This record gives sequence, C-alpha cells and structure tokens, in this order.
Amino acid sequence: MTNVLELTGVSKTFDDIRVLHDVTLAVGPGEILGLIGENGSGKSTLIKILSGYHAADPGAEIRAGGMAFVHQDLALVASMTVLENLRIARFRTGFGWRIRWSTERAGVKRFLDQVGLDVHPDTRVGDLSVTEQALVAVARGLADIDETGNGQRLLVLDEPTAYLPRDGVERLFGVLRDLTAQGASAVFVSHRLDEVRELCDRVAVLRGGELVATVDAADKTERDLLELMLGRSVEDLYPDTASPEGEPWLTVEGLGGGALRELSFTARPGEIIGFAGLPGSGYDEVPYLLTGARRATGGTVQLDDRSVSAATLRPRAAIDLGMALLPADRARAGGAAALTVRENLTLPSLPAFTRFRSVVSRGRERKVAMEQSQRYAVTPRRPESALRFLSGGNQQKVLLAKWMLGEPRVLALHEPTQGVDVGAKREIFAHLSAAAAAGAVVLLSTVEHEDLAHLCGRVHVLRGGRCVRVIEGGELTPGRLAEAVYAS
Amino acid sequence: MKTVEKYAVLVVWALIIGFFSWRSDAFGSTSTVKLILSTQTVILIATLGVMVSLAVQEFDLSIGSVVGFGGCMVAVLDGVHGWAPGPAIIVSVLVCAVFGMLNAALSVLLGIPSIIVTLGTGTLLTGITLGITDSKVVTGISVKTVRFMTDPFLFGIPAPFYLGLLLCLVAWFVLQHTPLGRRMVFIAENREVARLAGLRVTLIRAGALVATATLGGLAGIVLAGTNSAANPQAGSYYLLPTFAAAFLGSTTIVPGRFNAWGAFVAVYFLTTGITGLQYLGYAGWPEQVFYGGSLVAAVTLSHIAGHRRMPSVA
Repeated sequence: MTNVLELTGVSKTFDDIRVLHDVTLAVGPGEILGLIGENGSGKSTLIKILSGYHAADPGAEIRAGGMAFVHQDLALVASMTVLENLRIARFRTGFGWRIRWSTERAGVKRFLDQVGLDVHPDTRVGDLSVTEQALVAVARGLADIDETGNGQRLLVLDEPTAYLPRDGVERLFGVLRDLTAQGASAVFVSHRLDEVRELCDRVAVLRGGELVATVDAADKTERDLLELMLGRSVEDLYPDTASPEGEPWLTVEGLGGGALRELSFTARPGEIIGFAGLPGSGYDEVPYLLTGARRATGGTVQLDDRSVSAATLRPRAAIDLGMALLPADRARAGGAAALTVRENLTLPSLPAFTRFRSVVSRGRERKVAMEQSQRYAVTPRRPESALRFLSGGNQQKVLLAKWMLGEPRVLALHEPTQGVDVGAKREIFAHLSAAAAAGAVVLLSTVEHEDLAHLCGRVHVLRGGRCVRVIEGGELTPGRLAEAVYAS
Repeated sequence: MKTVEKYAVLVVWALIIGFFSWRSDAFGSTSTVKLILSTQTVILIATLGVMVSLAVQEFDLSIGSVVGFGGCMVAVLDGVHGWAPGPAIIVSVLVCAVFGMLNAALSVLLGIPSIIVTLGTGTLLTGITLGITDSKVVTGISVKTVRFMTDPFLFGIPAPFYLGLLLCLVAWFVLQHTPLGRRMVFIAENREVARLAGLRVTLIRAGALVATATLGGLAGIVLAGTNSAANPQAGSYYLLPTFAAAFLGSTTIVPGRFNAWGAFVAVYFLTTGITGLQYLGYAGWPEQVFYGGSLVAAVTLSHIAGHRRMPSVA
C-alpha cells in the first residue's frame, strides 16, 4: 500500500533564518502519526506548508492524497447550521441554482454517521457542545476530502483537544480510531504528550527545525518524549514549594456567579491553592469572579482588613486591592497582540512610568521592559517587537511579568500553561512558586491535575458550583485528584 | 522598511509639489502656500475630531452634520438673534458637545455600534439644522468674528490655522505622550485587555465621542466665520475628506496608529493634490477622486503593511 503523505527534504527559510531543515517523513494508510515539538520547533511552519499557506523552499517533494485540516479553533460558523458549515462552498444546485436541500441533507448525514454524531443537519453549530463541534469539524474534513480526494484520506488535527473536556477527548479519539480502522490516516499535533501516547502509532519529534526522531509511541514513556523534544534530560518540571504558616489574610465567603454557586475558602500568604472540576462545575469561574473580570452574583472578599462585596467588584477596584488575573484566553483577554511587548508590560502600572503624573517616560518603560524580559527569560529579548511575534510560551511569560510588576498580593490564574511549551511551563511554575515565597496568594484553576498536584498545597474540587472536596497533604496526587473530579 | 513607511507620504507630497510647480508657474508661489494653509482649517480640525474617535475604534459618521450644525447654530445665534460673538460661539460648541454625549450614550452605554448610531443621529442633526435655518443660507454673522477668521494673523495666514496647529499639538501630546493616549491605543486594539487592566474603558470611549462632536462644532464655527455665512447643506461635504485624511494620516509619521501629525500631513497632502490639479485646469472631479481614492489607498496600504486597524462594525 502506498503512503498517504510523503514529505522529502522539506525546508523553509524566512529572511535567511531556516526554520525547517530537510524534513522527511511519511504517513501510511490507517496510521496516526503524532507530531510534537516545543514552540518554535517548526511544527506550525510544517503544518502551514501542508495546508499550502507557506510554500516550502525549492527542492522539497510533497506527495499527498486527500487531506483536510482540523484546527484548534475549529473554524466553524456558530450561527450557521451543521449542514451549511459542511457544504457552504460546495452546495449542489438544481434548476435555477436552487440548493438541493434533501440531497445535501442525506450527504451530510453520511459524514455525521462516520463520526458518530446523531444530530440533525439543520442544528445550529452554536447549539452543540464543544465536543460535538469538534466532531462536526472532523466530519467537514471528511466531506472535503471526499469531494477532492483520490480515495486516500488524511486528517491533520492541530491541537484539536485544547478546548475539549476529558470525555470529549475520549470520544474524539474513539472516532479517530474507528476512522483509521477503515483506512483513513491522521496527523495529530499536540502539546499534550499523554494524549499523543494514547492515540498515536508513531511520533515524529521536531526540535530546532529538524526532525530529530520518529519513534513508536508504544515504546516510549511521556518522559522519553519530553526529553526528545527538549534535547536534554528533564530536570524536575516543578519547583519545591514550602507550606506557609501564618494567619489567613484572604477570606472568600459565599462567592457565586456563572456556574459557581457558592464557594468559601481562606488563604494564608504564600499559599498556592488549586481549583479543579469538570466543565460547568464552576472551578474555572473562580479567578474571574474574584478579580471582578466577571460579575459575581454574591459573596464577599476580604483581603487583610478590607472587605468588599464581590458583586460590586470591578477589575480596577480588584487591582487596587492587590489582585491580578492571568486569563486563559491569551489572544482575547491576555494581551494586545499588535502592540509591543513594552506597551503590554506597562499597561496596568502606567502611572508609575510617568513624569509629573502626566507624561509617559519611554526611557523608563524601556529599562523596566528590558529588566522584566530578562527576569522572565523572554526570547527574543526585544521589547519593541509586537507581542504577536512571540511564541505562545513567551507571550505568557510577558503577561505574567506584566502583572508581577504591580507586585500583586493575590495572583489568580486560569490555565496559565495552555498552549505553552514545556520549557516555558517550567519557568512559569518557578515564577509562581517565587511569587508565593514572596508572600502572595496564588490561585490556580486548571484541568492539568499533574500541575495542581505538584504545585498546590491544597486543591478544592468543585462540582455543581460548590466545593465538594478539599484535597491536601499526602492525598494530593494526580490520581486522587482525577478520581475526585470524575467521581459522580 | 519602517522608515520608508513613516515618511512615504511626505516623500510623495514633495514629489507632487515638485510636479505641479514644474507644470504650472502659478502653483509654485507663496500665495499658493497661503491659500492652501488658509482654506483647509475646517477640514484639519474636523479630521482631528474623527481621529480621536477612530483612535478608540469608534466610527463617528455624524462629523459632517456636526460641522454643518455648528456653523448654522452660531450664525443663527449671532446673525439672527443678535447674540454677542463670544456667547454664540461658546453655546454652539456646548450644544455640539451635548450631541456628542447623545452619541456616546447610545453607542457606549447601550452598546449599539457607533457607526450605526452616528449614521442615524447625524441625519437627525442635519434635519434639525435645516429646521433652525428654514433651509436657507444664514447671513449676518458679526464683522468681528468674520475678521478674526479671515484677517491675516501671522505670515499672512489667518488665526484659525494656528488654532488648528495648536489642536494638533495638543492631540499629539495626549495621544503619544500621556497615559490616556496609551490607554486609548489599548482600547482600540483589545478592549477586553484594557478592561481587565482596570482602565475606565466606558468613560474614555464616551469622552472620545464627545471630543469628536466638540471639535466638529468648532470646525463648523470656523467654516461659518470664514464664509461670513452658514449653509445648512454644507456639512455633508466634510465626511469624506476627514475620514480620508484620518486614515491616510494613520499610515504615516506613526504608521499603524491614528496620530496628529500624520493627520496634519494628510490633510495638506490631499489639498496640495487637489489644488495642483485645479491649477492645471481640471475642475470638479479631482476632489472626489482624490479623497475617495486616498481613503481606499490608505486603508489598503495599512492592511497590507499588517496593521489591522480597521474598526470592526459588529
């Protein structure tokens, strides 16, 4: 059987900088190939060459059968129906260019069946769950391949699980396995090494633009893959954290809003506290409600001797209290991508960079931007370049540095390491630990149980908007956390 | 590359000045310079006005109507009701500011896209302008006002030009050197980031719309004073030149951002082109072609250069 995808000698050079060097790889029929690499390893460039967005340097040979892409953001139009999303570019028309709706519906139904989706083609995509939306995106990929392909089917999935709940990931993987059993192939790109190991047959590892290894997934542990990716042995990803003493100074009582019904807890300075749960449990509302980013429906927040009602808390007041929020959605809520690293860094503390309280001193800004870039190991260290030119991990370091400039007393984070490579992840953890050691309260909402277990002194597990369990001490392991989260 | 981008408009400006001076003897004279500098103050002030809103990602399409209204209001108060020039001017500007508050209330507080709000309120204001003037040109503006607007003040150029220059200076300082200016950039680029950083997003957006209407009113008063009469239909002319100049200005001096000196350069660049063509004997069509063409060219160039600064309508 011939391969579904064959790349020979693929290189890519941007402005004299070679970001991909002589990559040769193949995907066979029925195979799922994992593609891993740190940010900046050339992974995205390779995907963009496959999709035709970039052209490879001359001399490369690319042979592909029918190929379709499923991106992290799925590229679906929420306000349109499943059918419209699948067929928008290829409606079959009859007399007077009338769309043949019944033929279209039957065709779409066939692809929905292939991904095990039992929804009506006329359902609005926005009314589906995120998992179902991901499956619709896969179905669209299959439909597109069917239209253009030569019988070979290859799905390229770029971080498709980033926004999926655990059961959704399993469902997607089930569908992918069924499809490959019928001869389709897939390339699976992900930062999540556990998922890569679980799903893929072989794993291709990119580092510094070169394909450093292609290994059988079954032979390697997560740690092996990680070391291949980084090109060195992994020191402990997690810093040592001390358990602090002292009086509680943050007291949250009856906090509610969105999916969160009622949450109360106290924190001592230096504590790192985790919040875990399934989607809809409210664990991911905590950072936003506490910092006034989303409007709480009730509860009080007491910091030191100042007590405020959560319902009236706004970002400005929260910042004045000494709180900082690092939201999960970097592009929409974290930083302004088109503005420079310097401008992003100084935004919340701009008055500190003024002369006569009215003129911004760019010199002082530059100096501090340089210092922060150095302290947070931001590469490239160019404060005048736009934030969007940095990799995800470096952007996140800049945004963390931005809030740390204000020396917050409470640092609330939601998925701080989403889409961040392992090196940056380790650095971010080290900074969180250092912030705690300096006396800040760190609040961490995430689905990464491993991270919670290693970093936090205590994790609140939420269900139905309430805290159902507090796990701490020797009990705090990823396994126990997962049990508590998934137990129903 | 960045330097090229920064000064491209200046270079093209110099080239067209050279070209017109070569083709027309009358063009290359101090009287042309004086003419160009004296007659474009209304557009300059109104351009600074729309620029302030654009800088926070708001589209104020009512600018033309406000210019027309401001001029007629002062003409009616001064010329018809016999108010003293000072109070007539102050009250006219204040009424325009109140109109800006209406725009702000609808688009910022209620969240209706400003482009739609101002399309409606602008039309409404034009109707009011026709009402208060009985759809006729209003004359009788006091001589004192007219002389202030038209008599040479410095280097043979009347005072309003220097007022425009002063406003440019203020806009440059605020936009580029104060925390407020930086905050406006963030509000334009990413409103959620701005909000989470504790910025008073609502207040700043509303303030920008009020500033636009206020500057529009001021431009209208200069228009009426210069012409010693106010035409209720005059306002509609000012929509295109101001947007063209504001967008063209955002591609130069500080490329990618709406900036005062960029707007200044753009206003006089466009006028130079139009005036030059008129000297060569082309009349009528150059204005529309120049303003329309440069608006499209400016937005296109800016898009190609990767500055995604187009206000989103939704």
